Amino acid sequence: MPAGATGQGRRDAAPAVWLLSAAILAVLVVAPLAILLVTAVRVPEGHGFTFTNFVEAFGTAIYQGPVGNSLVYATAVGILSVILGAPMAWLVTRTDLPGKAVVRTLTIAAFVTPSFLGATAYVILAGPNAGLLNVLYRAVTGAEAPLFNIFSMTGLIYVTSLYTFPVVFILTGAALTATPADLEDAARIAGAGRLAVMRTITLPLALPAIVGGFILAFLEALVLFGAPAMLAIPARFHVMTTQIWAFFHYPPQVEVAAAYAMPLLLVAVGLLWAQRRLMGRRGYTTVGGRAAAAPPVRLGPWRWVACGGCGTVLLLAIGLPYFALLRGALAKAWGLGWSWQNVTLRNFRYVIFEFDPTRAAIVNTLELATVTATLAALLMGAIAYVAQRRLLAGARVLAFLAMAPLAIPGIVLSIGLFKAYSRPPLLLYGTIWIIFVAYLTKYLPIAYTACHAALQTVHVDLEDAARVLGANRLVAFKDVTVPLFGVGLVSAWLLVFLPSLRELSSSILLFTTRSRVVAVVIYTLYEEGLWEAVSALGILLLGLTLLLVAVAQRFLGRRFLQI
Amino acid sequence: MAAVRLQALTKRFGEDVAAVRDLTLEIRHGELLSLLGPSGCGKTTTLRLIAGFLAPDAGEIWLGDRRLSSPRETLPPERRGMSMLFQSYAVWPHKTVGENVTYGLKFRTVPRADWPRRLREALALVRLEGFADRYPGELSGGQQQRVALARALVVEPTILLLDEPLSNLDAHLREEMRFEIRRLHEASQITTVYVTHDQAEAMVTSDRIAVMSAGRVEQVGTPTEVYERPATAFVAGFIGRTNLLKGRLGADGRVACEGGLELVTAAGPEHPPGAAVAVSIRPHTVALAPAAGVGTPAAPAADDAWRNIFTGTVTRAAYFGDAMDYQVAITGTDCTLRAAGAPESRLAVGQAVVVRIAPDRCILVR
Repeated sequence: MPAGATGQGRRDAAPAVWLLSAAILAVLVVAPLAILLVTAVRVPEGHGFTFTNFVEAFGTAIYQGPVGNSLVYATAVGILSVILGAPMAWLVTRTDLPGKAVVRTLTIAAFVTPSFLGATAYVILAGPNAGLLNVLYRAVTGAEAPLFNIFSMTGLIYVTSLYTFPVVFILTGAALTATPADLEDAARIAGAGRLAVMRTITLPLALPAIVGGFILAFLEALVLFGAPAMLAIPARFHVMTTQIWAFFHYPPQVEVAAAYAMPLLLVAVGLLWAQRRLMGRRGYTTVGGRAAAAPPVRLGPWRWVACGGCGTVLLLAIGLPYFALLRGALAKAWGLGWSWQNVTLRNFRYVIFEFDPTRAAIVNTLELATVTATLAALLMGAIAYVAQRRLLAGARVLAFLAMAPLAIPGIVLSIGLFKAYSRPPLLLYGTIWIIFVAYLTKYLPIAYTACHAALQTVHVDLEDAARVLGANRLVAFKDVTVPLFGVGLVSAWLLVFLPSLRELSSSILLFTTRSRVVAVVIYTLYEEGLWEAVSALGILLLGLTLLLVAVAQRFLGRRFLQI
Repeated sequence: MAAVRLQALTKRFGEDVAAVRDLTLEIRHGELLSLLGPSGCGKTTTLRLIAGFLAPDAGEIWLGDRRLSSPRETLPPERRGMSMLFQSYAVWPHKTVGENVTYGLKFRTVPRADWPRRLREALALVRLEGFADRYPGELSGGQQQRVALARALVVEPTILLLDEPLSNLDAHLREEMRFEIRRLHEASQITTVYVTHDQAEAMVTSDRIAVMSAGRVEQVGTPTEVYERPATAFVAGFIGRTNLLKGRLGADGRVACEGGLELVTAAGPEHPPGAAVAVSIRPHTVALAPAAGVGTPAAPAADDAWRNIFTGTVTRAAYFGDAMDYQVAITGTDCTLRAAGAPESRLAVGQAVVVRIAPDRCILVR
């Protein structure tokens, strides 16, 4: 095989490959965003441009409340996530805390647990009337008033933080692990005691990661739909995401929703930009050398206090909620109370085989997640390869487009998609394919990041070594890069598949009765008060998720979702 | 006058891995002592024991009449008044150069009013005037290292510890910094322990060198002593190139080497006749001449200094620009010797040569 011929062929194909990739990304990313922006300034049901949508959205008193609520909610979640996540990360990475492995594992479990299931569980646990903890409290003390009312801003902040703190934990832990021990040793020998080293060296060096974690937790809460819908609406207040959803109720005010979504988009773009700058700050990388981790700080008797603290957080995030959902899923009837006669697997049979809406939703969700994950992994694998090996000029444009959806909140994206695909020529609304487009767009950045990271471990010399020995680019790619990159592709696939299983905030605006997904069905069954079915679906979702994470960690190596 | 005494120090990592074994060493007041050895010989562990980052499993460390470390009690590093220069420089990336350098002053009784002067002097010493407000990320590796040096010197430490400080620099800068470190030491007179695996670095910078191997000190001495009078085969082989011949010591300093070569050496009384010994001969002390030139005036045959005279054949010749490197098979034996020659000597492979070695250049080692 003359190498020159393949090289020539590749060069000729390059513009076509670029155009195709760019076209796909334009349709997925640029089009819905452009349509969203146009929608926000269009006259509803008419022609021409106007600012009346913004006046309607932000000039009306009842729509202003949710803006304030969202700010309070997101800020409080960010702060609480730091208060929980940063100390736990320090304890796990830097001290002789007992049971570190358990803390890590359960924190991963909290990371992959959707907060709407946490919210459901806490309604079961701490609903003002029938919540298990409140019933128990009343029985023990004889009081009239409930101990907790989860239907409140405080309850919402509390539940959300239990599932956002792992973000702070992961980033802070990574920063603490990456800090070279020399930097702390240098302060010791200069005369600083352990506490002074912590205050002047360790904490300032981890600060960008902690602030970065705060920003991500803040953003997650800001664009979250499920938990607020379940806890805020019964408490008779809205946040911005639930307000956007309300705009879609009959008669739908899509233009006002688009205008209302603009601050979310701007804040997301601004904060992610700030987060990137903060984490990539120049000068925070140091010259090589003894990067070995410092010996663990001995906590002495405090280690048991610390262990108890971590245990409490994880009991509240995982132990109690999982117990509540399991109990609901295994109960014959909600009111029957505690006895072995009340235990059954019937609810699982019911949601999987008998009840049409849930059965259809399970099939839809698995289908959507599989197709989305497969396409995202292949598409982003190709683009990451091309971008990293600099095979095409302009590959960085593709990389930028692939990463852009990171800053587009799901519910905001789906306003654009709704507008784009709810009329000809592409009438996707009413099918699961509009949800597929939403998922694919939303998870492009995850897939791209995973592929990019995996490719960085496959040094270009490995491929070149094969080419020097006579393999052309394609053969070298097949024989060397694919086997090494394969693990990365599977990781990318799983990292898209897992969140696709539980996606709610885009689906909630795009589903119809013919195209429901599991998360949406959980929400609608929750509204109807069908606890047994909600719990059974929730347990199925969590079970599948945790199983996949465990299998992936076993077979893809410890780096998958390792914290 | 000993500044620091290490007494029978042992440090184990894990069950049976001893990084430092029964090590005894004195560091004299005001000297620069190198710990020189290959990687894994325990030199960095020794340094971290002196710094107080590690506690010994056995033995003690004394600073003057003050005990710093023992297995039961170890003074923490921040209370030893020492400074350390790290291999990675460990310049704090979130602090300016000025903040880095003055960091240690706040833990000492230096009035704040003196800080600007101390900072200025320290930066001037390492030739970084005007860099106080920069961040380390804006500096080159060499500049970062000088920041680390200023930070270590500004506190006027009792002991300065240097852990492979030049290993992250490029070759050219490294050579320059050797002299720089020697200059700074002569200016400051601070007792210094310098860890390195680079023998040239140790030779240039040190007053004395402690050559280490497998957790033990093989020999302590001035650069000249360890090079010219190595005590052990390891020292002879580690510092510079050498020919090492095993053999048995006979009468009058004669050594019968394995391979059949018989050498006259200047064996001292410390080597009893009949002992198994090794002979170290530096290549540049092996004189070669074309066989035809025997008896020429340049080589007085009967002179006692030239009693080791052999004939041989050149088996390998390499041109180094400033020297020739030869390998010579000694006739009638299985021995080959390496010899360094002047660049213009140009002996050819296969050429018959006369080999001369002065007895006092045949060093007996353990």
